[in-house]
Amino acid sequence: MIPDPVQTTGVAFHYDAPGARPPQAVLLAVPPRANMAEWNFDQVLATVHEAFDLAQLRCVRPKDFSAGLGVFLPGNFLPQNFGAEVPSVELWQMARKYASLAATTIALGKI
Amino acid sequence: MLYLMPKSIASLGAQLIEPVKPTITGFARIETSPIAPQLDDGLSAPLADPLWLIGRQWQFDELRGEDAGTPIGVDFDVHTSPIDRFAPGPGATLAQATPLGTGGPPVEVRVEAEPALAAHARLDGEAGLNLLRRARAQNLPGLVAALRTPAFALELPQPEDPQSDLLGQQWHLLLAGRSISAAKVAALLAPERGGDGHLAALPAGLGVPAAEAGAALPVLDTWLQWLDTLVHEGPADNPSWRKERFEYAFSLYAKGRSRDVALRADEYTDGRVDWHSFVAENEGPAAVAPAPEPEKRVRDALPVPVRYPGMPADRYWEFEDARVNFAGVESSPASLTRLVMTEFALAYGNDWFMLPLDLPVGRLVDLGGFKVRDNFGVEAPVLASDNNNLPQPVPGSPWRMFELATRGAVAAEVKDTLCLPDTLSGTLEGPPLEELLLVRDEMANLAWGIERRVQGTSGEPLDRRLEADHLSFRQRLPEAPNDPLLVYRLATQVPAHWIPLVPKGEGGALRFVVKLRRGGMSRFYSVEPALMADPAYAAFIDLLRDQNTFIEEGPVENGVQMFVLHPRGRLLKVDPGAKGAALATDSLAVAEEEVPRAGAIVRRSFQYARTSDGRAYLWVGRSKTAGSGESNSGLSFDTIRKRSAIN
Repeated sequence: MIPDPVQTTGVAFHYDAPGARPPQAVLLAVPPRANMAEWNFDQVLATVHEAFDLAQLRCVRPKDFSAGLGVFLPGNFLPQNFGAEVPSVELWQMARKYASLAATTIALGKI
Repeated sequence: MLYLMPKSIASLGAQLIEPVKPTITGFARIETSPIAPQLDDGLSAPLADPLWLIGRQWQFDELRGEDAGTPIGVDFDVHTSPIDRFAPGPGATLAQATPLGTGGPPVEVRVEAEPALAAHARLDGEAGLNLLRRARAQNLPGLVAALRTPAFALELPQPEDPQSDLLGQQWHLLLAGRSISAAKVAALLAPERGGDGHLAALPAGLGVPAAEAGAALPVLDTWLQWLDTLVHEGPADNPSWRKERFEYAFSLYAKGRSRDVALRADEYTDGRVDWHSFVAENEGPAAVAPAPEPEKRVRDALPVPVRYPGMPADRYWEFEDARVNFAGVESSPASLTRLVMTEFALAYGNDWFMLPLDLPVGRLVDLGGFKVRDNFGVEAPVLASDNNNLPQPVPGSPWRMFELATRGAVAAEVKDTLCLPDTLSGTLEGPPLEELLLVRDEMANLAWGIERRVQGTSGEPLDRRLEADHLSFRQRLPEAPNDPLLVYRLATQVPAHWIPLVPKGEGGALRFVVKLRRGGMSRFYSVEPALMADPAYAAFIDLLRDQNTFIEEGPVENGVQMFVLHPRGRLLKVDPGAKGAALATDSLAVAEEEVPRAGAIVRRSFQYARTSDGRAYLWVGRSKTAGSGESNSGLSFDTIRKRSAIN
């Protein structure tokens, strides 16, 4: 082996670079009105802001609703009657069934 | 909601309608919950709709704007100062230093090389044979006759113990009397060599006929050039080698900022020289040197983020390199370096940038005026990672990275510099010519130097473990029916290649140090004529008496002769040529700390490497590596054994 009289060294330094990363989704904006001649900047900005607001809304929990609205929202109430007197959705039973199914599935998935 | 049917109505219409059982109807609803108490879902990082992806990034702060910019340009100057002088030995001074120059042997060869031909009769004879062939090919019978005189005779005698030194016997049969000693010829020619290494004239002592003198000179000259490339001869009794420590010591010299700086390598053992081998020390008086011109000006270089295997990914949906798992590093609370390293790799590895920089070797390098420019055009200076450059320096802390260790007030000379020595890359190491294992023996309160291999008469290694069997003789004790059943032994016997290192206090009460004095194991053999009548026993005693290079013959007292077994190799001797009675006084005092609990293995072997100009060097060098723990010699004194266990 013949050593090189010129060796590659490295210069390393610490610099506070921004930590922002590009978003994981592509925003496809459609014009807010049909037959629009051209976009204007405010509309594009508003679209981006709206998408960002929606993304934040996506992470909302019911208890994040202010003024106790979380008790009523989301309003998808389903009746449940053990005697089957009225049309019912047996969610508990479904949940139990799903849970036993899910438990085995997850266990297999981990292996 | 509750529907209850009044009992009166139920009893009234008992015959008319079926009684309706009371029922309760409740309401349930499905809620979305983006949080969970378990970590599994978060760690599995499932994907969902695009808004979920953006929302998750928002939660992990990946979308937050900071008042910062990405570095896109680096400016700095590179100042270098050549490491240009070399001096062997510990505590060398500038006056002893020789310039390294270009085209000379590399540092490792200057440090390690020792006389090779004088210690290796086969190589010596083969090189001599080469000269004889050259002379015969040029049809110079007068030169051949002049070379084949006793003055240049090859010393390759028949080994006293041909059974253990088989190679010595073979090379003796092959070369002795057929070749000449190249070392002796080269030594005679050496004074006649000019500054360029070429032979200027024939020496008077050679005795070449006048008719052949003109033709003999080029033959001898080309042979000398060939011999130089064959093997690099070092100085006799290599001044770099510290016998009592089995280590090399040497110094390199460079210009610091205001004076010469010595770079001392006091414990060089492994054949690899790098910046961490050296400790910097001031040398010579201070002198104001003119500010040197930068070796290189780097402008607008583009740095890239530092990445390393196992580095935590800085995005949520990004796979990490699974080959290195810093989280799996095991560490005890006391291994601080490991903890610091792991924490730095896991938590503080981001925001580091680097750029490659090609530098000439054999220099002290220091960077000046380091400025970073970001994509908004903001320039900021970056200082070296020195404690004093921190926003809040810790008083007295020696913290710095990749800098030379210093001794004395040298900090200003080498502060913020990188030492880039000119070293070999990749050395081929031959099988050891000599191998010595240094071990502690707590049971016997001794240290031992175990000679596994030494050079035989031809220079080729011989295995001392096999040879040791030839150097001991098992005497059967004559038995009579009335003899006692127990036998008293003054001392048990250890193999011939185990050399004792006896701890001795030195330096008085105030500066007390323990040195390990090299001794020799004594053996007593009866030389009564009745016993010597046995040819096998007589041959054995003769073998001991003949090998005076490592067996010291004592006087005969009461028909018993003492033999002291000394080391046969060069590593444990102060004077490698000591013989006979001189062996007793040739006592090496080994520093106690050089025989650690783990033991040490010292080797002498041929090394081969190329330098950057393509030249090849072959030399004999030494190395020291860790051993394999303690050993037990079984040496004990005043023991009583059962007769049946001995015979």
